[in-house]
Amino acid sequence: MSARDGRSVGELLLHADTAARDLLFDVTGEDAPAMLRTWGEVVQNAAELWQALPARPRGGTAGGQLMVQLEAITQRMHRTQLRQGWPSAGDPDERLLSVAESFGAARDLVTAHAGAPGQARSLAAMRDAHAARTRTMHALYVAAHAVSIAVREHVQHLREMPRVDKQWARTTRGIPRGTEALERLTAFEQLAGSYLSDRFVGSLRAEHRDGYAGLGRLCDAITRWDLQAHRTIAANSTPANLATIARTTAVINRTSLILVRAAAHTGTADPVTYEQQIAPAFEEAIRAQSHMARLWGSLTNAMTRKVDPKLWAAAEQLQAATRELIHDKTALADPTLIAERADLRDLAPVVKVATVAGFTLASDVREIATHHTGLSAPARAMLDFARNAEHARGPGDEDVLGESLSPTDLQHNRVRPLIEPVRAILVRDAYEASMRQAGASGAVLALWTPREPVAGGSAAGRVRNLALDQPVPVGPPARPGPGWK
Amino acid sequence: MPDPGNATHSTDVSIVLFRVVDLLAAAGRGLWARAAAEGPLAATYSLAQEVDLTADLAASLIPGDAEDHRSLADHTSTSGDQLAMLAEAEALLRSRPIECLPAGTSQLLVRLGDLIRQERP
Repeated sequence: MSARDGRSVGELLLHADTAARDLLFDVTGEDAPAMLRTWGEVVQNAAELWQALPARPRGGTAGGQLMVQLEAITQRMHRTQLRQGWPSAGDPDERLLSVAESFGAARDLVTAHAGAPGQARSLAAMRDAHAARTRTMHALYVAAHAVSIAVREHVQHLREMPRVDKQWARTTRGIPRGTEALERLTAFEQLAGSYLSDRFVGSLRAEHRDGYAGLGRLCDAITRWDLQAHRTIAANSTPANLATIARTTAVINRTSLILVRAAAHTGTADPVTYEQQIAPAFEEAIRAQSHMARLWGSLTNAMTRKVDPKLWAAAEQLQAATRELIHDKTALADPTLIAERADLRDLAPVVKVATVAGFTLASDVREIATHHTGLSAPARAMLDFARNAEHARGPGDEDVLGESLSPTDLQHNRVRPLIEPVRAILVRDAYEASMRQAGASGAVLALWTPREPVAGGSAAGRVRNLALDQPVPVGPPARPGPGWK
Repeated sequence: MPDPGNATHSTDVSIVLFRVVDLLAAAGRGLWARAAAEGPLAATYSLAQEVDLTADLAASLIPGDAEDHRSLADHTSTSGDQLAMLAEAEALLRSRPIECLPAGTSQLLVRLGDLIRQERP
């Protein structure tokens, strides 16, 4: 029990956890200065608690070393803040302060009961110490993420301020200093996360390295995705993996569409070709892949939805690269903003890589749907799938679908090989999806086909061809030759 | 503090994770349908993909030997409001101590927090 308020160590750490989670929902860029002022105290108290907890008998020093590293990152951050005078003196963040106080009270309680730090003397004591460490690291990880969000939004806000407002030295200083703090917080978050999972998982706003952004990052992400998707298909063609592939192909199609639209709006692509050919072809391809994702997804359940971790990571990296280019907070970015973020004269090779990847993947998926005998799905999911897809039965029509699966398989919802009615639907719709991908690829070629210059230099007339016989690059896009615009 | 190795706890945790995956999968389906209706120029496609990636992550946390103890009716009891489904998934995870949930749950919680903040009006 706590000497201060009667709460146990477990309850105090539960409070720290809950307060940290609540921060995730409420945090804004305005909170950043106060949070940065308070962060050092949170980490210091957590590190002291960590030190006070009984150690595991025989070794187990990795976690202790990790906490030392986390404390060191935070101390460097704090010293930099003092030296730079940013953020300036002011109030602490009360919510983070309550997390720090919970860690401090837990530390006092452990120290009062256990005296000097030593080894756990029983299995129960060892288990409690491990649980306390997990709760502490978890609360730190979540809180670090919340502080990162605040700092990122704060920096973004400063960057977007009108030029006249940026004349204030304090405003201008906040951008590099906030960026530096964010880099350290990101390192902290990743390090704390490594204690909580052996699988690296980024946040939705995964940060990129400085100077590596825009179309180069997107093109790399598409190339990596394409490579991994083919590897996954070759090794493990399951409905869960195929659903992820279809979904991500739809996302790539959509990103290409939005980028070409931005190029058309800002004069680096032909707006007429965009309206008449690109938009309809890509919209059809997006619809077809979304439909395939739904079909494959409906053949999974919570137990069979095991996506290849490497495929998942490639899809997530692609999502982060996409979001960075075409989103403005939670809305789609305006074409002019997209054009500010990326030099859209470099777009042609990226869109070609995207459409070629989409077409080859769609063709491979069609082959798998047609010939792969190892495809399987839960029995009930297959029955629902086939019943939803078939035409409504008339009076007197027999329901023969149930006969494709044994009553025992249905009762226990066992994973069984694909039944023929399900495969037939998948083959038909996978063929349609690959045709739609071919349509999108064809439309891209049309956009970058030479056109006769239009007198007066309209947007359409300014567009020239990027030589179509150029090889499709496999890295960041090369700067196109003269004549692209 | 509760013992994560206890068999009752393991079953309880699996039930929570099954439900969380179902909720996220249902939210993903709803968002993809909404995205299709709104068209590619709406932001919903990105959100739908992020929710599905989060559902994949949640499914990866279910132990390979877990048994699905739920009844058929449980599989379909979702509200239709995607934000409510995300909030329900977060609340379910919050109802169990973090040390009783599989490694990787902290990352899942952070992703859920990001999604809920993003979706809240």
